[in-house]
Amino acid sequence: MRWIALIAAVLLWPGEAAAHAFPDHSEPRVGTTLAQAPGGVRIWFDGEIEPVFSTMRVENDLKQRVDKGDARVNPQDNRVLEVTVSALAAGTYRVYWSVIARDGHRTEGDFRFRVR
Amino acid sequence: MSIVVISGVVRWFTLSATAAVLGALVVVAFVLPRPTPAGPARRLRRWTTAAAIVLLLGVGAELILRTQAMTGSTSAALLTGVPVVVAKTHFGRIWLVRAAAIGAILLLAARASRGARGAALGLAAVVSLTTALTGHLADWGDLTPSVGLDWAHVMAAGTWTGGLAALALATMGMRGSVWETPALAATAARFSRLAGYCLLVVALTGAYNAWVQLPGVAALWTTGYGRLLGIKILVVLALAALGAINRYAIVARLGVGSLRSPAARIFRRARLIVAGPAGPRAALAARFATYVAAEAGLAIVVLACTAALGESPPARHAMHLDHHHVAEPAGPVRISMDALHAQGGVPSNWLFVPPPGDAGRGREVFVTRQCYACHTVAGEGFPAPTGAGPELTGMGAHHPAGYLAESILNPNAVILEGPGYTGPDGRSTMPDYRQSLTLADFIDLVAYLRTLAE
Repeated sequence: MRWIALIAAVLLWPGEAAAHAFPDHSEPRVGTTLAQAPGGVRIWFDGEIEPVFSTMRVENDLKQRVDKGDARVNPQDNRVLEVTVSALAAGTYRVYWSVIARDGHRTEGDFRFRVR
Repeated sequence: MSIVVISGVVRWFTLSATAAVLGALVVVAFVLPRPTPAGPARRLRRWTTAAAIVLLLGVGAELILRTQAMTGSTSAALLTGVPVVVAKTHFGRIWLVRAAAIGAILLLAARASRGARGAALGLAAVVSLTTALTGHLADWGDLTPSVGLDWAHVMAAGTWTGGLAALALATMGMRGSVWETPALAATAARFSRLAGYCLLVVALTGAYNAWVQLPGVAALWTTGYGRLLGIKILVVLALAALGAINRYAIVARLGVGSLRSPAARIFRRARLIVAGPAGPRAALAARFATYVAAEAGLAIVVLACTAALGESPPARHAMHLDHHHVAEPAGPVRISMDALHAQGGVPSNWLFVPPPGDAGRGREVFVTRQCYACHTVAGEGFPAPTGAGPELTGMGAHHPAGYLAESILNPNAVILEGPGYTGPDGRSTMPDYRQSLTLADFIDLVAYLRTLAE
C-alpha cells in the first residue's frame, strides 16, 4: 500500500499554487460588434477577486475614458467586475481590467468591442 | 531582481520554516523516546525558536511584497497601502491570523512543558491552514473541501520534510550515551511509520490538487508550470528513494521487529544481489544519520520547487498566456519517408506554415479588397467598418500564420461561437476570394496580418 502511495505521490504531487484570476467571459463579449450600445461592461472571472484593488476602465478610439468611473466588484458575486458607461456612439472601445486574486496576485488584460 | 523572484525566495523561506516548526514539534511529541533525552529536546526547542523567527520575518516580507503587487506602488505608497491590505483584503485578514499564531509559537517554543508544546503544535496547524487559505485552492471559498484537503497536504508534507530535519538534528553526534542502538532503532521506526502515513496523505491530497489544477497530463511538458513540476517530481522521487533505502536497508537492520516486513526482506535480498553483503552492523547508526541528513537536504530542494510553483500561474491558466507565443518551425522539417509514415502522415507537432510574404504589399491588398469594411485595425486609419467581422488589431501576436491563412481560405473551418459573424445558415459571412485573390496576394495578405501586433 505504501509503495502505491509513494508512486502516486511522485506522479501527482503538484504542490501549492498561487491564485491568478483570469476572465471567464464578459458582456459585451471579447471582439464582438453590437447593434445597440451597452449600458456597461461586466467581466466574470474564474476566481474571487479583491474589491479594494480591482479596477476596470473603458476607452474610445481617442483614448478618452467613457466609463463613469464606478467600476466595482459585484457585492453579490465576488467573481464579477462591472462598470457603467455613458451613452456610446458608434465606434471601437477598449476595456482595460486589472484585478487582484484572493492571495494578492495581480493579473491584467484588455479587450475590444465595437458599437455599430 | 524581479519581484516574482524575490517573492519566490521569501515563499521558499516561509515554507521551509513552517515545515521546520511543524516537523520539530511533531518529532518531539510523537517520535522521540520517553522520557525525552535532554540534549536532543533542548536542541529542537532552539531549532523551533530559530525557525519561528525566520517565519515571522518571512511573513513580514510577504505582507510588503503582496502590498507592492496589489498597489503596484513604490516605497512611499507602501506605507499607506499596508493598513488597507491588512484591513480590507482576504490576504490581509488571513495574514493577521498567521502573524499572531507565529508570534504565539515564538513565545511557547522555548518552554519545555507538555502543555506549551501541545499549544505550539496546535498553532503550527493554524499556520499551515493560513498557507492553504492564501493558496490557489482557496479560490472557491474558505470553508470548502478544497481548502481542507490542501491543509492536510501542507500538514503532511510539512511534517514529513520538517520532521526529517528535526530527526537529523536530534540524532546528530549520536555516539554519546543518549542514542544507544535500541533507542535509536525505536525512534527511527516511529518516524519511518509516521513518514509513511504522511506520504499516503500527500499522495491522496496531491491527486486531488492535480485533478483540479492540471487541464491534462500533457500540461506537464507543454507549460512552464508543468515543466517546473516535472523537476520537483524528480527530486521527490530521489527523496522517496533515499527514504526507502533508509527504511528497508538501515532502519530494518537496527533491530526492531515491527519493521522486519516482507518488503524489507525483499529489499535486502535485492541489495545483496546488486551490491554484495552489507557492511558491519556497527556502522548502521552513522549511515542512518547520513541518510536522514541527505533526505532533509533534498526536502529543501523540493520546497524550493514548491515556492517557484507558488509564484507561477497554474497550468490550467496556460491558455491565457501561451497563445501570445505560438511557436512555428524556424526552418524546413527534414524527415525520412519511413518516419513520416510512422508519425501518421505528418511530422509530429506539424503546423501549416505559409511562405514569407511582402507585408507592405499585403496591406495594399487589404485596402484594395476593402477588408476594412468589416475588420477594424486600430492605428491604421482605415474607414470605419460597416459590416460585422472580427477586429484584427493585434491578431498577429495571437495566431500563427497558418491559422490566419486558413481563416481567409476556408473561414468555415473554425467558426467562432458568440460574436455572430455568421449568416442565417450558421456559416461564416466572410466572402469567398478564390476567384479574386492570386496566390501572391494571399501570401502577402497573411504576411501583413502577421505584422499586426498591439
